[in-house]
Amino acid sequence: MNRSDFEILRGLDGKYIDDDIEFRASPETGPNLSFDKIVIYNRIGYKIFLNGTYSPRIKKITYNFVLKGLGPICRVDVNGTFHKDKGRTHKHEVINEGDPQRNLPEAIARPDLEGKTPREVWKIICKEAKIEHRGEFKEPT
Amino acid sequence: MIDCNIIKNIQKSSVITACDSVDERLIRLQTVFMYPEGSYIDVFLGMDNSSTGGYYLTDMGQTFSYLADLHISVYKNPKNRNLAEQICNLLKVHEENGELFIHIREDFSDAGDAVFRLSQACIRIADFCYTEKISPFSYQKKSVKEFFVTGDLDGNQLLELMNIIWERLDKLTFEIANLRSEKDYIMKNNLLS
Repeated sequence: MNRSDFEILRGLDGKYIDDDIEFRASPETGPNLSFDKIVIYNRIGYKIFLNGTYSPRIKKITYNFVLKGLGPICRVDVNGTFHKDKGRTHKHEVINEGDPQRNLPEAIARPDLEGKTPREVWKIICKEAKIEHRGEFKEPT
Repeated sequence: MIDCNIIKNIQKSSVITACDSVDERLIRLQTVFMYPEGSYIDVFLGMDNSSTGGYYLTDMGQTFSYLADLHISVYKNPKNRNLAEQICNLLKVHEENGELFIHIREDFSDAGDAVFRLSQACIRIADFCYTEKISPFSYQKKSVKEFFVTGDLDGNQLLELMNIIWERLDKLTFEIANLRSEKDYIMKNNLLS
């Protein structure tokens, strides 16, 4: 996948999610709450999955989109680890071919997302990526 | 209460580049070490809640979460689980429910060493991403070609080819289901009119 493919996919109308999103405790993510394997349906037929993590204590939020067979294609981090010179709140995207296999090394700063709740961040992502979430979003506590 | 003044001695080593407070009992230390995609590893210094008191250093589960974003499981993959245990044993790092941590002495005499050990554990476990095949497509074509040209595969090669075919069938089934959903969506929303 190159940048052009990513932009086409991001701009594609008609993407939707049927499932509820609920952050739960997991034996594998320590003090963090997470969800996994949310399917994003799309007209092209790509197998895209969403997973997310929320750390209640440090208020860190991650939404991660993965194209099966390729790797991550987009990831939003709020108050996460400091990425190069883009700060702790940033968005990773496919910029160069091969980025998914390298876990998206490039990012853009997103200070507009700082201080927002998981639900608020999710709404912004859905609007920007043209995703209709038909299920319920359960705000983590 | 704990604040960033407490780590002045550790900061002298230049391994810690920034410190900020999470709450009264936890501070976040940004290190010079990086996860594979270029983000700096954070370690957190906390005050222990137990009756013995003391301090601890932890990654707050961020390393296992890093792998989870790549759909790589440490717990569910026996190879990864075994490797993680070996790494933790060697570096004297504890792991519990996906969180890596080290107890620190109250005088902080071992804190600098602990930062190095915990960071090293984070790096080595995050490096599991290099051993996982994210994109199988590069070897699929070669294997299929070998089968049809030579007609001669050993047991392991045949098993690998069967797995590839099974995965493609799985993808095809999903695509058919998607097309059906697409058709239902169009019909339901009367998009053809």
